[in-house]
Amino acid sequence: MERKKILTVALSICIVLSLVTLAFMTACPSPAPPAEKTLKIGALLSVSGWYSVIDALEAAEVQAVAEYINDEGGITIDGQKYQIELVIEDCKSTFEGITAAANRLVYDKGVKFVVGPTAFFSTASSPIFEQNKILHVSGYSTAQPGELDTSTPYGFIGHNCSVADCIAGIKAIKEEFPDVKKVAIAIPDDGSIPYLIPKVKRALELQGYTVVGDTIGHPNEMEDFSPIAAKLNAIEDADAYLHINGAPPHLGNVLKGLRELGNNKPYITTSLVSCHVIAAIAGTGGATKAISLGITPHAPGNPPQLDAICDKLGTQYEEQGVIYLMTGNSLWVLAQVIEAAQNLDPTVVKEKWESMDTVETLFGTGILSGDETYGIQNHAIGHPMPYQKLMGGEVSFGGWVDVGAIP
Amino acid sequence: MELAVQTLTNVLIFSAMYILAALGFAFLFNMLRILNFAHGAIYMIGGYVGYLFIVGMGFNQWVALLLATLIVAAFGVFLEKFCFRPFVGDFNRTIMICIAIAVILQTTVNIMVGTKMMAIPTFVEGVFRAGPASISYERIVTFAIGAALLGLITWFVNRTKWGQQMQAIAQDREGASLQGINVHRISALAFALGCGLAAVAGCLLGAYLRLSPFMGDLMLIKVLIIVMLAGIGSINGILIAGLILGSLNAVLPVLLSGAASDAIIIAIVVVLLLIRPQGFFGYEVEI
Repeated sequence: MERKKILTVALSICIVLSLVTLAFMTACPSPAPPAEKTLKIGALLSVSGWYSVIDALEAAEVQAVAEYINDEGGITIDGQKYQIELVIEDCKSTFEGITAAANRLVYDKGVKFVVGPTAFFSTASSPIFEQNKILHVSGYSTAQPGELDTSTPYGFIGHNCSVADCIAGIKAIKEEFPDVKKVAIAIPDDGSIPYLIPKVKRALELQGYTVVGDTIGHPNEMEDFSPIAAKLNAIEDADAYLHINGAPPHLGNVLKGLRELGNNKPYITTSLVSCHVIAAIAGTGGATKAISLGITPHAPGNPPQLDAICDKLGTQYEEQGVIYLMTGNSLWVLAQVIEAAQNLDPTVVKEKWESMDTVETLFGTGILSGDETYGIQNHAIGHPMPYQKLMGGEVSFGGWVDVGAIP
Repeated sequence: MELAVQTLTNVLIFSAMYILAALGFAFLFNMLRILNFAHGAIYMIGGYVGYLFIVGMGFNQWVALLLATLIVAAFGVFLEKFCFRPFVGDFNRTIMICIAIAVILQTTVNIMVGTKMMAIPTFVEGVFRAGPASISYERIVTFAIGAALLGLITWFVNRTKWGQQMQAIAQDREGASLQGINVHRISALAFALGCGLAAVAGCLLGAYLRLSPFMGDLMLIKVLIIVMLAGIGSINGILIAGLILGSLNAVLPVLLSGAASDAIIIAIVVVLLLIRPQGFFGYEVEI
C-alpha cells in the first residue's frame, strides 16, 4: 500500500513536469528565419519600335540578372532579405512612350528605383524621376544635357558610357592596330555631337591620337549608309575610322560601304554591338578589320558573375550573336549599392553611392568617377571592357581593356 | 573627285532602290485607288520569306526570290478577298485595315524571329571598279531588276488586256463591271502583282541593306513620297519621282552633316507638292 502511494506520487510528478515542459516549449518557439520580402525595381526598355533591336535583348538580360541576384539570396538589409521584383515598362522607342512608361512606374507601380532607359532616351524620364526623388540608373549615356548632370542628382550610370567606351575603343586600337595615329570620327546625330565630340577628341589626344577631317554625323534611320561610307572614305589622311555609339544597322552598313569602296582601313566602333551582328549585315565581303566592344561568353578573363549571367541567358548568344548587359549591369551595380547603403530610401542610397570610390560590376571593379565629364561627382562609372575582333569574316575574342576612371 | 563620282553612282542606285520599293504600292494606287499602307509590312514579309527559303531551307537565291514572290502574291490575293473587298469605296475603313495588317505582320515577325539583325546573303558577290567609281554587283543587279520591272509594269498597264481592264476599273468601277469586266478577278490580279512586286523589293533590298521587322516603316515613307510626287494615274512618273528622291537622299547627306538632311528632303518634297499638288504627271481625283 505504501509502495503504491509512492509510485502514484512519482508518476504524477512526472506527468506534471512533462506538461510544464511542453507548455514552456510551445510558449517560446525557436526564432524562425524572417520571411523574404520583395523590392520592386522598375525597368524602362523599348521592347517595341526601332530601338527594340537592342532593348528586346536587354529586357531578357536584365531579367536574367534579377534572377541571378535572387538565386544568390537577393538583397539583404539589416538581416531582412529582399527578392527583386522587376517591373518592365515598354517605352516604344519614342520620347512620348518613355514619359508614359516613367509615369506608370512612379504613380501606378510605386517604384523607388529604376534602371534604364539607355542613352538620350533618359532625357525624357529624368524630370519625372527627379521630381519624385526616384533613384534611376541608366545603362548608357551620350553626354547630352539632361541625361546625367547637375540637373539629375538622383540619376546615375551603371555601365560604361559613351566616353568610357571611347576610351575602351581607343585602348583596343592600341592593342590591335599599333600603327594607327590618325582617326576620323563618325557618329549618329542624336543630339549628342556638340557635347560628346569635344570629350572624345580630348580622350583621343590624351592617348596620342590625332583626329582628322570633320566629324561625320548621320541620321539614326537611313536605308543606305553608302553616302556616309563615301564621306569617311574621302578623309584620306585617316589611318582608321572610329564610329562612336551607333546601332547595328549603322555599323554593318558603313563597314560594308567602306569595303565596297576598296577601303580596308581599320574600323572601330565603341558600341557594344557584337561583331557577329556587324558581320551579318556587312556580309562576307565587308566583314573584316573591325573591332567592337562585344561580350564573348566564357572568354579568358571574364569575371565569374559575367559568365554566370551569360549561362542564364541560354542560347541568346548563339541565336542572336550578341549580349549587351547595359541595363543588366546597371541593375547589378544598383543592387550592390543598395546593399552597401543598408537602406531602401533612395536619398540614402544616393548619398552612399556618391561616397563610394569603387563598386563591383559584372565586368569587374568599376571606378566611380566622371566629375569633370558630367559635372556631378561619382555618378558615372569606368569599368573593364572586353572587345571582339572581326577579321576575314571570323569573329574572335580580342581581350580586355581597363577604362580606369572617367575624367 | 572620288566622292563626287561615288555620289553620282549613289544617285542612280538610290533611285532604283526607291523605284523598286514603290512599284507595288504605285501599281495598286493607280489601278485600284487603294492607299495600301500595309505595303511596308508586305515588303518586309517578302524579305523574311526569301530569307527563310535561302538560309532556312538552302534554296538557290534566285529560286527563293521567285518562290517568295509567288507566296506573297498569293497572300495578296487573300488580302484582297478578305480584307479589302468588303470595304471597297470606304476610305477610312481601308486605312484602318491597312494599319491593322501592318501591325499584325510586324508583331508576328517580331515575336517569331525577334529583333535580331539579319541580312539575306548577297545575290551576286564582288565589286565592279572603274576608275574612281566602285559599285557592288549586288547594287548593279538591284538597279537592273528595278529598271526591268518598271518597264514591264508600264508595258503591262498600257499594252495588255488585263492592264487596260485595271485602268477601266480605276476610272469607273461600276462602269467597268457593266462592260463585262470581272472586277473581283482583276482586283485580285492587281493585288497579286502589287504584293509580288513588294516581295521582290523586300528580297533584293533585304540582301543589300538588312532585314528587320521595322524595315518597311522607313521605306513606306519614301514610297509615299514617290507616289505623291509622281501623281495619281502615272506609272511613268515613278521614274522621275524616284530619281528626284534618290538624288536628294544620295547628295544631301554628303553635303550636310547629321539628321538635317532628312528634314530638308521632306521640306523640299512639301514645297514641290505645294507647287503641284497633283504630282508631276498625275491628275486630281477623289479617293
